[in-house]
Formats: sequence, structure tokens, C-alpha cells
Amino acid sequence: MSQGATTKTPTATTAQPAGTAAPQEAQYTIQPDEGYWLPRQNGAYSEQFDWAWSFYIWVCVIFFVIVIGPMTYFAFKYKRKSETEKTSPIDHHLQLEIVWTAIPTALLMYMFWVGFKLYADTQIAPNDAMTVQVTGAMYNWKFQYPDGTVTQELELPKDRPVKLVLSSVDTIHSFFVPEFRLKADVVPNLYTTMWFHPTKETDTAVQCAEYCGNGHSTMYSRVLVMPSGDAGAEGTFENWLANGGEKSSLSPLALGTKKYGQLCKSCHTLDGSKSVGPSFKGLFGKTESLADGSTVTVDENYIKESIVNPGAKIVQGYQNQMPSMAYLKDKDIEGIITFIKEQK
Amino acid sequence: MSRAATADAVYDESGGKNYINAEKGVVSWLTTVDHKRIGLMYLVSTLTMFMIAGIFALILRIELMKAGEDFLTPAMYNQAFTLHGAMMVFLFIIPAIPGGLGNFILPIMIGAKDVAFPKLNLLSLYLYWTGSIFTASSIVSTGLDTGWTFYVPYSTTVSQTSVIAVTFGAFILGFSSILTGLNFIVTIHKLRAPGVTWYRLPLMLWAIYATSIVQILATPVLAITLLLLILERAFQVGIFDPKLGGDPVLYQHFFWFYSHPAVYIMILPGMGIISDIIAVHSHRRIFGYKAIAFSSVAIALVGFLVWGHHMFTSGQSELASTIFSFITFFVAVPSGVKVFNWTSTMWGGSIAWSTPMLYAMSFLFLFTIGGLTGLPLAMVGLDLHLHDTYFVVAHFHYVMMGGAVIAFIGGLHHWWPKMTGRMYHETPAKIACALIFVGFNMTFFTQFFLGTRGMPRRYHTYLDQFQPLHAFSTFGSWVLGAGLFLVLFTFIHSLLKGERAPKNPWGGKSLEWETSSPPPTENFHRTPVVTHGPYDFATTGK
Ligand code: HEC
Ligand code: HEM
Ligand SMILES: [Cu+2]
Ligand SMILES: [Cu+2]
Repeated sequence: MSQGATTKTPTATTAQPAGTAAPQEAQYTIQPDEGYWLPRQNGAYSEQFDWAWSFYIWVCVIFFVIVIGPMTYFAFKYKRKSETEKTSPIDHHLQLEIVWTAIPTALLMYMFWVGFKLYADTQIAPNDAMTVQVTGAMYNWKFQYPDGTVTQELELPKDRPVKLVLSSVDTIHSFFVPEFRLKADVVPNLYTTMWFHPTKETDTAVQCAEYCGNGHSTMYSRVLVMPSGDAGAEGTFENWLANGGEKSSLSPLALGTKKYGQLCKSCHTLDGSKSVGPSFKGLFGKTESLADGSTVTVDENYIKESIVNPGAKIVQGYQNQMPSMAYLKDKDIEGIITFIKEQK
Repeated sequence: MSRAATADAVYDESGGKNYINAEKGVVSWLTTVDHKRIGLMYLVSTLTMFMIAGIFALILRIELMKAGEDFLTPAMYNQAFTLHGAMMVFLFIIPAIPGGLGNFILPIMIGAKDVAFPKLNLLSLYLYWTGSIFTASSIVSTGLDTGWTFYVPYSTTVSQTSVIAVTFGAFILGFSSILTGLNFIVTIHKLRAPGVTWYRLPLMLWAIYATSIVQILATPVLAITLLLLILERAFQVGIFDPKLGGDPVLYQHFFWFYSHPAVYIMILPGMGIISDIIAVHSHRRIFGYKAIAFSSVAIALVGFLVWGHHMFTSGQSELASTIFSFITFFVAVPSGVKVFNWTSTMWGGSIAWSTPMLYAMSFLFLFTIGGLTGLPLAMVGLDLHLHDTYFVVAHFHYVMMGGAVIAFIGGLHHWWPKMTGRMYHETPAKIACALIFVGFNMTFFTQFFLGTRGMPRRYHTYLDQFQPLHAFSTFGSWVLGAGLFLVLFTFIHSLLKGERAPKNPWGGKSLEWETSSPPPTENFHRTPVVTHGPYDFATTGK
């Protein structure tokens, strides 16, 4: 993957791993709101957040006026008229000190409480939340769904809670979605979590909020919230997921190509050269010698077995290093088989 | 400001001898143990660093005027913001007020001849220079791109820049800071002239005292952290790097254990300056002396328990975040108490619209905004959105620049006649103050909006929607820059052409106004005996 893919404009294209569908080029944006401060709301949490924010702004305005109002007034009223002017002898006032210690303290405690309640809501994800694994790397984001689909943009169903489990493969990043008013650091060797409940369809920017080097300011992705519904109906999240993270159905070959790029490419070449595992070139139909001395003809069943239970038959000259991918759907496996057949 | 004290003839018991012309030649300055000369050398050095770091800032703002790459590559931008931040913090604002103004004024204010350990004081200055050379050396070598926070694992495994040189520089600077703090504490305890009781100390000194406590207790933690960082980077020891079994979040705990108290090292002396300016330029007894004095100490102590508020999104435990949030609100209380007492001091005063007083009022305005915008960052839920955005950039510039730096510049004007023996021209000084005030708000108030709308910090380029606000902020930085350069010209003009200063141009009551301007090497010809407080101005009577 290209490191530090910095482009001249903020319309950075997401770096695409080889073998996936053509990059979708589009402008990242954060939808504005009518107000001055915050972006558009999405979900109950952002509504509570915005309430807390307005509360805070009013506290701020009131205190600012209480301090700066008298200061300005005094500056004019008591402006020096002569050098010998005498001034007020009053240099302390216990009751006043108590009042302006106690009232702010009480108000601050309440502010703590407001902040804490909001925070508590962000920490406890409902049990029925869909879990998506987020991986941050220099400089791209990767999202893995429960069924194994891996994407570079986070597509989500509307009106369903989602829990993200985040981790990094290199340095610290931070996953920041202003529309949800949330961010969480993405740390190597640590799983952090974050959850939200989108209630609006949206296409909103994800930015990296923890400095991570030269690609930091272009480490964008997007959150796309789409309607939830029947897997058969075009345009729903379920349909998208069933198609392996594509808007419309892919041909088995296209699906297989995509899965190869996401899941197999790191160990299997297409040009006949040896990698961690044997090359796929000319694999289908050939007679393979196995580590135990026997032979087998590579057919559909053998490939499926290799994916679901790779330890069952080990190819001669290789280690048993392939992870089982039993979670793949039949459709994905059929796609992969079609793809391997094509590698003549 | 009318030239008040015409009655005070230029104080001249020593036949024109003062600490500046007592000895001549570069060597006499480099080997001096006079706290006033050391203070002056600190001032010149730190102000030079302020200028370099400020020029970096203007360059950053020009790059940010438009989205996309204009003339800095991302790597260059990252180095520029890192050096800007690191130099502003470690080479300018931490040493400037204690090392510069504090050194000059502290012994005079208590009627002493010098600090308790004059040679140690000179050593502090040399350590400051050595540390600065290490830090600044990165400009001409491979730069530094870690941010002033040096977060791991970026700083230990990813960055290709001179991390070791700069952190070693900061390590040395830490010793300079510790020794200065130690010196000041002992001086205040031991060298007060007869009659200078604790409650007759000018509030500037209570602030310096509180600052010194923090310097002594917090800086060693920074030293250890930086040493571990150097070991980790050089030898892959495995303390912070997760690949070697270390913990990167641990580094953040260590770092902020120092760096949160360090923000009080920056702001407390500024608060001290403001207390003095407001009382002296209002010719009024300070309101709530004890409240202001003890709130400095309270801030210094509670400030040690809140570092985790920088880590709400870091993956630290929910319990820790909750506790840190709770304690953080208690630091806000003493700061509020100070602000209320300052405003009350103006009530019933005789307020001179002099340059220092205008800076003090700017300070009240800007610091109040800085303080109030810290509150949502302490409310954990709100911080999840605001953390590491331009809201934070704006907040800390309001506190560090709008607070500490504005107070520092105000203090420079306030004690300038004492330090140099020259008056400055009031008109350009006031115009500069106004330019700074307007330019500062244009530059940084804009950034609150950028932050809440979702613009992350440390970005070399940004989404198109942020364009107009960024452009406006850049225009503001030009006004601000013009104001700062005008301050420089006012001071240079004063040195060359300024009128001779009387010993007490503002009608102050604390001890520094009883010696000549500039003072003789030994500060006072006879040890003064003090019979009144520092703010005993003529009152209308009870
Ligand atoms: C971590 C590396 C790794 C990944 C990822 C991986 N494999 Fe393998 N694969 C191996 C190794 C090593 C072997 C040889 C040992 C064995 O047979 O288990 C192998 C063997 C195979 C074989 C048998 C090849 C032959 O010559 O008989 C097939 C088929 C296969 N893999 C398919 C896949 C598919 C499809 C994917 C992606 C969905 C995949 N592998 C992902 C490492 C990997
Ligand atoms: C001359 C006026 C100033 C301007 C125009 C200015 C501008 C900037 C800019 C553009 C950034 C980078 C923001 C980013 O990319 O996230 C920045 C960061 C910073 N500034 Fe300033 N600044 C000024 C004065 C100061 C002062 C006086 C201080 C401290 C005393 C200071 C301390 C910092 C710090 C600590 C950072 C953070 C660096 C980092 O992220 O590592 N600045 N400033
Ligand atoms: Cu980043
Ligand atoms: Cu802090």
C-alpha cells in the first residue's frame, strides 16, 4: 500500500489495495448545521451532546459578562483624573469571597455531572450492536465486518447500534467522526471501543485526529449510512454486505478477484512464483503432492477444504501457515474458486 | 500616562553608577553573578527564541491560508509546527518569566542584594543556553517532526528526525528550570529584608514561589521520561514500544504528569504580574490579597492531580477518566477566584490607562476566554468531540499567549523603566497593544469554530469547507505579527532615544520602586527596612 499518499487537494482518494474495485473518487465533507458551532446531528447521542454544548455556551456567556462587564465599566468610571487621587480602602470581603467560590464550585460540579453522563452513554454499547473491527495504519483505515467482508469505508445500516473495536498496526491514530461527536484513539496492541446509533442516512468524513506523520492530514475515510432492509433489495445495507461490500451484485469472478486482493494476496502469487503458500497460477486441475507423500487433484472440493480447513492437507514444501477462513460465505468461496480457475 | 513622578528626581546617590555600567565588556556579562544582569540575558535570549518560534508560526499560518499544498510539504509543515511548539514552550515561555523578569525583580522586591545562590543562578543560564543549542540544532540538521509532545511510538520508531538531540536538550533545560526554582524558594525564605513579612510580599512573589514548587517537583519526572524515551529510541529497550512489550499509553501518563503542571509554570507567573500591574496602575490596595496568594498555591498543588484530562480518548480506563474530569473542575475554582479579585481591585481605584494596564485588561479578557474554554475540555463527554481539534489549539493559545505572553509583555512595559532606566513612548506602545489584541482574537477566536465543526489539529491541509475560517485566521496572524514587531521597535526606540526614567514612574509602593532606575549592583545602598505592605496606597480612609 502506498505510504503517505499525500495529494494536492483534500479530495484525497482512499488508498485501494490491489484487486479491489476501482477507487470511488469523491469529496469528503462534514455536513454543516444551521448553528455556528457544531456539524449536523446524527443519532440520540449527538442530540444530548448538543444540549450539553448549549448549556455550556450559556454558562460561558454569563461568566464572561460577569467578569468583563464590570471590568469595562470600572475602567471608564474610575479612569484616573488626577495623580493624587485617593482610592478605596476596602481590600477584602469575606462574604464576597465565599460567594464567588461557592457558586462557581456548585455550577462546576453540575458541569462535571453533565459531562460524565454523556461519557457514560458512550461507554456502554447495547448487546445487540453489530461489531465492526477497525484497523488504522499509516495512512488508511480498514473495516472488517462480522462476515469477513473488508472495506475501506465504513458502511452502516440506519437505526441499528454499531460497536467499533479499534486497533492500530503501527503508530497511534485516532478515529474521529464529527457527525457522531466521537473519537477514539487507535493504539497498537490495545483494543479501544466506540459505539453509536446512526438515525440518519449520511455520507460523512472520518478524519485521523492523532498526529501520525506525513500522511496524517490526508488519512480520510467516510461513514456511509444506508437503509436497513432485505438483502435482496438494491440499496440496502444487507444487500451491500451480501455483495461483499459492493453497491450492486458482482459477478462471481469480480467477487473472487476482490476477495483474493483482501484475503489471499499476501501469501499466494498469480505469476507462478513461490510465496508463503503456493502460487495460484495453473493450480486448478493440477495434481498436487502433499507433505504426507500422497497426491490429490485440485478441484472445487479441494479448494473449499483448503479454505475452510487448511490443515487437512498440507502441500509438500510448505508449512501449515494458512489461517482457516471458515467464516466466508458460500458465495465468496464460489467466487474465489471461479477466480482460481481463471489463473491458467 | 502622564509622566507622573516629576517629584522623583533621577535617583543618583552613586554618581551615575548602576548595574549596567558598573562593569564593561562581554566577559563581565558572561561571568557576572548579578541577578539583574542574568535576568537581562535571560530576557534577550528568550525573546530571541520567541521571535524565531513566532516566525515559524506565521509561516504555518500562511501555509494554512488555502487548502492543499502551497509551499510547505507535509514533512516541512510537521517540522515547523513541532519546532514552533517546542521552542515556544521549552525555550520561551517556561524560562522567560521566572528566568527573565523573576530573576530581575525578585531580590529587589524583598530588599535583598541578590538571590541566595548567585553562582547557581549563572549555571541555570548556562544550562539554558546549552539546552537551547541542542534543541535549536535540529533546525539545521534533520529537524523534528514529533510534535512538542514527543508521543511514542511515533517518536521512537517512525520519526526519522533528530528526536534524541532535542529531547536531550529539553532534558538539560529541565535542570536549568529546577535550579532556578530551588534558588527562588531559598531566596524568598531566607533573604527577606527586615519588615518584609510573608503577607508583605508582592503577589508576583507568591506566584513565583508557587511556580518554583511546581518546577522542583514536576520537572524531574520530565527528565526521567525523556531519558527513557532516549534509551528506547537508541537501544529499543521495550518500555513504551508495544512490539517489544512496552506500553505507549504509559508514556502519555509520564509526559502529562509533567506537562500539565508545566502549564501552571507558564501561567502562574503571568498571574503574579497581573496582580501587581492592576494594583499599581489603579493606585489601589489589592482586593483579596490572601485569596489571590493562596489560590496560587492551591493551583500549584491541585494541578498535580489532573494530568489525565489530556487522555480521555487515549484508551485509559473509564474510572480514571471520570476521576480526572472531576478533579480538573477544582483547578478552575482558584483561577476564578483570582479573576473576581482582580476585577474588584479596579472598583474604586484610580485607573491609569497606561500601557501595562491596557495589557492587564487584555489579559483579563483573553484569559477569561481561555479559562472558560477549558471547561468543555474537562467535561469528558464534550471532550470526546473536541479533543485534538482546533478548539484545543485555540484554547491553549488563549491561555498561553492571551494569558502568559500578554502578561509577560505587560510586565516588560511595567518594569522596563526600572530595568533599563529609560521610558518608552506611550503612543506606539498602546497602538501595539491594540493591534495585538485585535490580531490575536482574529487569529484564534476563529479557531474555536473550526474546532467544534470538526477540524483536527496538526493538519497540513484540510477539507474545503474549512477554507474561509482558515483564511481569516491567517489574516489575523498578520495583524498580530505587526503588533508584536511594533513592541520590538518601541523598545529599541526607548533604548536609543527614551527619556531617563525616574525611580518610581507609576507611583508604586513595593520595594523595587524605592531604588534608582536602573538600580545599582547591590540594589540598595542601605538594607531597606519595610514598614508597610506592597500595596499601601493612599486611601479615602475608613
Ligand atoms: C498466511 C498466509 C496464507 C493466506 C492469507 C492464505 N493462504 Fe492459502 N496457503 C498458505 C500456505 C502456507 C499453504 C500451503 C500449506 C497448506 O496446504 O496448508 C496454502 C495452501 C492453499 C491452497 C492449496 C494450494 C495447493 O497448491 O494445493 C489453497 C487452494 C489455498 N491456500 C487457498 C487460499 C485462499 C483462497 C486464500 C484466501 C481466501 C488463502 N489461501 C489465504 C498460506 C496462506
Ligand atoms: C505569534 C502568534 C502565534 C501564532 C500565529 C501561532 C500559530 C500556531 C499554529 C498555526 C500552530 C499549529 C497548529 C496545528 O497545526 O495544529 C501552533 C501550534 C502551537 N503553538 Fe502557536 N502560535 C502563536 C503563538 C504561540 C505562543 C506564544 C505559544 C506558547 C507560548 C504557542 C504554543 C504553541 C504550541 C504548544 C503548539 C502545539 C504544537 C504541537 O502541536 O506540537 N504558540 N501555533
Ligand atoms: Cu493521524
Ligand atoms: Cu492539563
